[in-house]
Amino acid sequence: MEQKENRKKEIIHFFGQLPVESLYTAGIAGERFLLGLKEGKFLANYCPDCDFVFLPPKLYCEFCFRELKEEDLKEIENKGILLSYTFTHIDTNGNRLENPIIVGVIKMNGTDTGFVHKLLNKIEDIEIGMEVEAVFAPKERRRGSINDIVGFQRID
Amino acid sequence: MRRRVCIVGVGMTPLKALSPEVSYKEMMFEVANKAYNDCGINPRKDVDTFICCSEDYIEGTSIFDEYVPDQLGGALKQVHTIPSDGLFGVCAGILQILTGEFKIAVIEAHAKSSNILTPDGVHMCALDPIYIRPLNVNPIFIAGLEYNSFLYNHLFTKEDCAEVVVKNKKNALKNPYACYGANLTIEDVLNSFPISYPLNELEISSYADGACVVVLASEEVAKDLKKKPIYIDGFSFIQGSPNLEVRSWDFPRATEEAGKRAYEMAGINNPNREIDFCEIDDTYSYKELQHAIALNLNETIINPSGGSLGMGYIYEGTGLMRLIMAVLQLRGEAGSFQVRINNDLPRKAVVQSWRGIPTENSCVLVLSRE
Repeated sequence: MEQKENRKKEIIHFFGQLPVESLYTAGIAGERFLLGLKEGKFLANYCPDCDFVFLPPKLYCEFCFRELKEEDLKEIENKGILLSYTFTHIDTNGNRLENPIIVGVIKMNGTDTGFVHKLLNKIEDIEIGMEVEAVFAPKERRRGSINDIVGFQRID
Repeated sequence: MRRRVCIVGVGMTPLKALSPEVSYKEMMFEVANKAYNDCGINPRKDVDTFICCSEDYIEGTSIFDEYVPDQLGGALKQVHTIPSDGLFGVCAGILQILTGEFKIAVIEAHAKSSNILTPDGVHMCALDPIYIRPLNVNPIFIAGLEYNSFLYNHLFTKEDCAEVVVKNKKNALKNPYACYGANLTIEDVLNSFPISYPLNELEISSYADGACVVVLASEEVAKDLKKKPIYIDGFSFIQGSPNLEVRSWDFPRATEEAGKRAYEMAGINNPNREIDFCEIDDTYSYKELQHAIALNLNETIINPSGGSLGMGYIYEGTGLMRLIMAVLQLRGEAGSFQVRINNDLPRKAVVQSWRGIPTENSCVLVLSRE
């Protein structure tokens, strides 16, 4: 009987949060890239030792550890190939979404990286290997952010 | 011959979806006691170094290393935490013992997943804050992109991946430590909710609560302890790139590299022939297939414990729990889920872990018994 009584006791826990806010510095290469997006341009850079083009650009090559020069940033064309895609049916809190968000990995022409962003086409119109281009937000709404690109769409 | 470090003691709680009756500290105390009893040591006298694998965000407490010594018997002793999977802690313990300055090391990892009210928030904060997080998409999209690329570039189908779920959940039914065992069909898996195409709900390991402790010792000390030691013949821990744009989307490069290094150290030339069974990461269905190929283990017995899909996912404890499952097998203590090779106990095993999205890392251990 005593044991039963014990089991009825409330199990106590306490609610809490981690209230942390941060600033994130884009950095030298990051800032050039993001300001490029504001102008509707993609800026990439090249490691001559590895023959590798980075998008977004970096101030160093992670393969050979060579320093890459800020002045070597080059504009690349707004066109690429879709390497993979997914459509996600849950939001950032894990709740189900009525309309899934479609995300893709795009190898922009002239680069060796896979750029990750949203896709704007309908699911049935998306396939790996299709040619895509970025759709930029109207100029007055761009603020030097990855979201200056609304998403990528198929080029027919 | 190179000096080897041994696993001499293990302790683990059976995993549970909820554990409101105990605090994480009490859970750690329980498994530490089990592990110390397993090898017959006194932590206050015999242990030289304690390593806990924990992540502040998952604990809900910052500067978490402050909170780990007392419940392990490590107060006023040499203690540190590593914010990564438990197997990375094992590697740190091995290296400390190999210096010759430490004889016995204790490695701990745990999760009270049921206390984490916003698990997606933890993963959101792990995304690159400038290029990826502002897209405001649930981080599970990374697994969807990997999975789709894997199916596109390799000769595997969605059914092959669903079969991994069916197999692991069935294996878990025999494992008393597991909490998500089930008898499912491939259709059940394929018809479950599409979380992030092509990844369905049943292809994702479910969170669980549990704690694990592993005791390591130098070979000289191990021979005088209670149980026959399990030898760590090879180990490697590899960190890939945090930058999604340089990833290989269809192949786990870090696992392949960690496997090569661990095999070389252990003198393994043909893993498929020489390894009797493996416990490898299956956080998502396709991951087991990817890791099996990367480690050349696709023809061995894979995840007889039921893996994370069948046992449950306990964050940083996941690798450690798989190591404990492998140790039980090699000792012949796995009971209802014991693997036998031609009526004999297995002799060699591989254990591998991955820290989950958005990471590209991997840790591999090669184990053997006398």
